[in-house]
Amino acid sequence: MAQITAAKPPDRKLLTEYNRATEKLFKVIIIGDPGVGKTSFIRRYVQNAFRGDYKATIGVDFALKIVRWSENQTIKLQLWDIAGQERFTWMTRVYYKEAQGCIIMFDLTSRNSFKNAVKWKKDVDSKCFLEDGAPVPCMLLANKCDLQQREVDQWEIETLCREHGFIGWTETSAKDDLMVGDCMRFLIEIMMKYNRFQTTDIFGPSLKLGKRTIEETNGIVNQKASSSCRC
Amino acid sequence: MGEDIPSPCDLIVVGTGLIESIVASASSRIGKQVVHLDHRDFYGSSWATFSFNSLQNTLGLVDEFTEHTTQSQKEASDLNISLNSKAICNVIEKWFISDECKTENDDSQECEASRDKTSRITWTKSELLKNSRKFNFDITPKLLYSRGEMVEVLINSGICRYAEFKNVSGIYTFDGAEGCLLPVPCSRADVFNSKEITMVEKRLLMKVLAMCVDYENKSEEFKEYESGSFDNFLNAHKIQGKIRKYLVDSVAMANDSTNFKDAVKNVQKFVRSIGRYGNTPFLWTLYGSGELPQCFCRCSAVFGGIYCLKRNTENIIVGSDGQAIGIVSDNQNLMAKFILIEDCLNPLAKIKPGISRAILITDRSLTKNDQAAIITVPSANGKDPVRILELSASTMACPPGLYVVHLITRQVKTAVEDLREAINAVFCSSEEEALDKPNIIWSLHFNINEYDCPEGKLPPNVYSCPGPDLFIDFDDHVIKARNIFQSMYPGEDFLPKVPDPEDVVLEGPSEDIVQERPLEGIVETSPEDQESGETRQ
Repeated sequence: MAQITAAKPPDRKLLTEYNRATEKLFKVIIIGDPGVGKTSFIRRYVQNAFRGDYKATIGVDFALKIVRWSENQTIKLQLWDIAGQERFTWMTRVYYKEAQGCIIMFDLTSRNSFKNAVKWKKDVDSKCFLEDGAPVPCMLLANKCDLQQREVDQWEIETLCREHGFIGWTETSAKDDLMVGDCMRFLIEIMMKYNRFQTTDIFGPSLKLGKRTIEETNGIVNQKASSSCRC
Repeated sequence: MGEDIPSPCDLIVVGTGLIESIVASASSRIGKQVVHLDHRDFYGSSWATFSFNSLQNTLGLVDEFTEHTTQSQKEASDLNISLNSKAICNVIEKWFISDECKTENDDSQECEASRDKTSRITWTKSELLKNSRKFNFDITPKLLYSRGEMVEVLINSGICRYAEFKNVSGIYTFDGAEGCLLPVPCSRADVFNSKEITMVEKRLLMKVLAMCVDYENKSEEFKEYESGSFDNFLNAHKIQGKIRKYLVDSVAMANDSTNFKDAVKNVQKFVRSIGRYGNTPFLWTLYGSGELPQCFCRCSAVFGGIYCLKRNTENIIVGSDGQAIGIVSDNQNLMAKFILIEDCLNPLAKIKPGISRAILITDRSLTKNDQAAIITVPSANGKDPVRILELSASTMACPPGLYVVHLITRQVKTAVEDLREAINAVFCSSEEEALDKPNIIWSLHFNINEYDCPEGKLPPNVYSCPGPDLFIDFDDHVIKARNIFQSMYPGEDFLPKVPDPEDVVLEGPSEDIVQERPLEGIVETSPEDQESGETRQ
């Protein structure tokens, strides 16, 4: 029985060289209670715009932001919004899968949304982790800091952040564009740092369907077996 | 939050199994407002995939499939859809290792050393449970034919982007007389390189395969077999011995009584699927089959579907004209034009014997397989065959060094009784042989119920979706989902391609040059401060 030989993992040295001069892709998921400002935050960061009344973006999984990190390093950020539709429940694993960074957002003017940040963190940690088994780096954002009536104190945020393994936190305002770009830069730095430790896939490549050309051979009767499973 | 669920909506779906999820995504995709509910706290109903801990919680300690006693006041005409039976039963878990390290001298370094050699790894119960999240146990493990309905739907809709796959690397049939596994040759090259069969048999096998593939064009030649069994056809062509086993057990997925047409359809699918993604016709879903319903749910959510787990449903409200007008869910009326429920909630459903299942963890491969393998233990005494799927760590089913083995057959008695023979035949052996056979470390047996649902008794705008079946692939369910969709929305496109999110450009600048200035105002948690973050393994 012919075994399918998976392609050899790329040479580590070459890979490092390659990474140094090219583009990286990061999937970042943004979660938190309804109405805390997740979509506004993404719009502010990606388009530098703010509107009070976002309709759920229909038909799009994520917003793409391209960041020129340095002269020879471009970063493509996929910002996955829960799009409002899954708001009554925890997310599908499909949403969490392969996330390299996570933002959990709450609304400084809503104590309940702050309390739920822990629930969201637990849900993330139970459904995804980095290749080495470490939790996905998770940043806590206290949004709507432009508003006056606050229901959450800073020391509470600090404690929660420490006790539940967040990588850091800050106050933000998507409306006034406070700390939006800066906190994303912080998250990217952390993701770059973690990314350096990630091993290449030890199991060989997996198949993605419908991406590249498919060997259009027609079965056993008039074909030679293809020797690669990379389609 | 309940008041935010839109009512009325176009479609309420109760249950997040495969058919329900496919219909939900197809309906959202054409702009229908879908509300998708499940009383469970996970996606997938009887199609779900679990980590070690969540499996134990779900099936054992905390029973998620448990009965609900919520009874609300209802009109006589209303149909009760609160869960009144368990979809999974006869659950028996067994450990075959102790909780202590089993090395001769209890030196932990010794233990590490034996692990490095990858030959025989000694595992303990606590070690396995510590790796809970690295296990992905399927309730309903299924393969995809590379040219089957599921693959086509995934590609055509673009939903394939949410999932990854591995090619199944080996297909085997169990030879009861010899007590060994026979590799089934798949490609033409396999057939001709096989040392198991003679040249005459090779030619005969290729001839029969070619005939089956060409069946539609030569229906005249087949007329005499059409109404009979596949067995009858093979007898007529003097197909005996190993090649008959290959054909019946693995290629046609048949048994003694399978009719000719069904068997030929399977042969065609098998042959056409070879070579598209690899040497065998089958794909396995990375992280488990339970990913697929979730892929469809995500697609539905992205197109506006409202998702709500842990939400009980009590009744279907039936109007005076016999049409359903909505449901009662957690004492709230939700109105909809169409209602889709899973069979186990169907008030008219009657439980019938379904599927006998076992999940094993073993310490060695039966097949030297480093991806996924399917083994058929053929039927004896008129019983259905037992299908065995062996998954290695590369399928994300378990940590490296271990294998997850799924056994599937038709339920006659209980899972333990129905699968005993096959497990004994394949795994247990006399002392002298035991060295190269896998050890079973842990086993779980259970039964999945099927339901008899009388047709035409529900209101015409209520659909009931069957749960898992015995087939090795998803295609029947994909076809059922498409039929339900087309009967609700005749003439509408079934899951047309979604735009690639990378192609959707939001207005405004999307490229940023990072400014070189220090970051201020972010409170960074130093690693020592992280008290309860999960530890790196």
